[in-house]
Amino acid sequence: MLELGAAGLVVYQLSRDEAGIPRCWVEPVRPWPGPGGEYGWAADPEPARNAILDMLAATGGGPALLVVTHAGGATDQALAWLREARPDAAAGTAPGADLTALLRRAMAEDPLTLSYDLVVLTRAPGSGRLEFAGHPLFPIGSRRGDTVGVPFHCEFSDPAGVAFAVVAWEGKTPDLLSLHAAALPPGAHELTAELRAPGRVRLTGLSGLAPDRRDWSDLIASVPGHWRPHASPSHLICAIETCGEAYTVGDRLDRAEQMVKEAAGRLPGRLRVSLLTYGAHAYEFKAKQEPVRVLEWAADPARSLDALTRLRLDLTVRPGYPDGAQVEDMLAEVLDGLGREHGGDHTALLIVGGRPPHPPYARSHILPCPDEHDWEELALRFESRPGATLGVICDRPADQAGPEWFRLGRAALADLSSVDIPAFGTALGLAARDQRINFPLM
Amino acid sequence: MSEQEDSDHIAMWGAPGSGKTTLLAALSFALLQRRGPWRLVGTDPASIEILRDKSAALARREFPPATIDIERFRWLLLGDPVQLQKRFAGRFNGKARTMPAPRVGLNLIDPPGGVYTDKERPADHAKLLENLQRSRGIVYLFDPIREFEDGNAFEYLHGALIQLASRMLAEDAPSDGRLPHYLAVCITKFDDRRVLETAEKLNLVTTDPDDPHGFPAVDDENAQTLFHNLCDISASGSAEFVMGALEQYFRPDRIKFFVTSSIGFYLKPGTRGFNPRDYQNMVRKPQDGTNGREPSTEFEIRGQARPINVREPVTWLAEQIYADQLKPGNGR
Repeated sequence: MLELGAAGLVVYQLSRDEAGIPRCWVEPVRPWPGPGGEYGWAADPEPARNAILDMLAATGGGPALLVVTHAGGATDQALAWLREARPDAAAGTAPGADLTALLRRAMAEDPLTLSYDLVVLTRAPGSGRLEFAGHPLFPIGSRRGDTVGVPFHCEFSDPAGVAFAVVAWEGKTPDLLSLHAAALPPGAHELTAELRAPGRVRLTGLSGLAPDRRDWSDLIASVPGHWRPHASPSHLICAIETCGEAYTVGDRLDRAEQMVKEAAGRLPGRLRVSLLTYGAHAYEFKAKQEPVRVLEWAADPARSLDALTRLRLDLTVRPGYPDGAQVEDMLAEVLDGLGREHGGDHTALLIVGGRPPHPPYARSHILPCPDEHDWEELALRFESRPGATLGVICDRPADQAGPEWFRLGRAALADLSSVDIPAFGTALGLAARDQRINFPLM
Repeated sequence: MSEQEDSDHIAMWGAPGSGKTTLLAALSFALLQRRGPWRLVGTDPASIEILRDKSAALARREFPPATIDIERFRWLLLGDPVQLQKRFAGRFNGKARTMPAPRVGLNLIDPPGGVYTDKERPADHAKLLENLQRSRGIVYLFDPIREFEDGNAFEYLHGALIQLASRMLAEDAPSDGRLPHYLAVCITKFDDRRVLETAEKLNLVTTDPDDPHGFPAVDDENAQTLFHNLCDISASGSAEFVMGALEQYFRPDRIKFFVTSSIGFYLKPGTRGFNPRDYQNMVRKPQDGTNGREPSTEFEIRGQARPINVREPVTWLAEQIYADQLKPGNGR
């Protein structure tokens, strides 16, 4: 659009961006060529005409609209020359009008050419896997003033809050239109979205809502793979091998204690702890098998720590069969205990030991389990429980631990002498409180 | 010991740690368990006592410890003349003949490692060769597990055989240039999972229908096949030459192979049948301070020792020697 004003020509470049939002760039005034006067450039019109047509050519394309905002000899003459050069362009007069304001208002009233969505997360049924989705806000054709209410749920988020991102969909690719955030407590909430103009959505109904300065790709990357309900407790099961050297058994008890304390600190009021000990099978002639001991089951962490202290005082360390330990019996005991429980809780089984499990039948130098328990099958059964994680703190470093420990500790495997307890706790999933979900959940 | 008894003896020979002492104890055990024409006795109180001690250890499910200077002890296989005369009736040409109780000496050669080379311990080496030279039959123990781990059977055997042959053939060379001994090659540790699995893969495992426990067994005629295959997987790869060395130095008709186990398979107390899922009878001893990092090297027997095929190689040798004694012109 060309404005023919008192000072000269003004070019308004109008277009739509990738998100379908109308945009307008106003170029600086191009002054008239010399003084025009009441009757224009009547004395010597040719140079002025050429100059104005050069200005027209410099706009790059033909104008669709010519608007005169200052009537007079010069603008009339210039309009005549321009209409002669662009007979297809519409022309009109709006004396004294503020074209910039008029355009802004027109663009705001423009109906949407693309639909707008709010970015949310959904939970896949069963697995709890978190997936991005778009919650519809405004369909194509929506106009300024349209409003919509959006009920949603949110979890713990980063301190910057839950991100509310409005996107426009062009094919399969969303264009981010706006990004706001509000620090909200976990729970159900509702916001109201109002279309103020193409590309402008006002969100209301949430306190503390402010522009979000976080990097969009960081926000996307912050979303965990699976959702864990913040309200459900975690169950930490520590299974400790009690055969071997006394100081090694002492180290194992230390690590179990550290892990219980770490998890209890992370999950106040939401941690249950079970304690089991297991030793070596007895293969001596007619020897009696010592069973796996369940010292505590799903108990308060403080109570379990007391049990660990008592165990330390009462424990008699026996060397036992040196090539294996009752890992498979312990797994069977754990599954038996969990079988009586309600599902849904996060369960972390931590094995602290050194001797590998016994095979169910003669297939290695390690003698078979007298009860033919199959540790691989039992481990798989444990791991297939929803929210179950299995980790091993082994007497030896991972590269010397052996294939059995490598398998059992595939989610988390650490060396007894150098384990990083906080990191190991995170690997075991004992950080449900720390799961940050920075988008609204639907 | 008379000259005759001393010369008609069997030498038990094998690399250090190949299980000669345990085999001796198991042999005594096995000869007592099953009534047959042969029994094992000591030639003097010390030999009687040591045999009793070794057998008692086995009965306590312990591996009998090796004894220093075991070579100085002597045992005798005493044959029942009545039973043997029935078996060897053909040798007497149908004539009734009163025979004294057959006697075959049994010595255990337990040299420390490396003795077959005369460089470091020439006296021990000379004693070994002398013992082998004087014997008529040899029980040669081939331990496939040790061979699998160390792979020194050929090195051990070959050096001694070269020197033995050079001594004997120089003195009284037989026409075919081979040693005159009967040789019972015992493939030991059949109870070990790796040996049993190798035999199973080769389809060599059978079960004696008369065996109340149904233990796996390898017939003697298939033992050589198992021996070949076990040699193929030795650590050094040189075990395959063992067979060649044996055939080079001994007459093929005087070699026989046996698959043996001094302790047999584990049988859970209260059960009678072999359990293919749980049969390992050797168990590492619990030991303070090992923690699995430095495994104990001491083992014990998990259940009752049930020797497999340990009597057969010795009685086969004894009967070959006895048969030779009966040959006309032998003068014995």
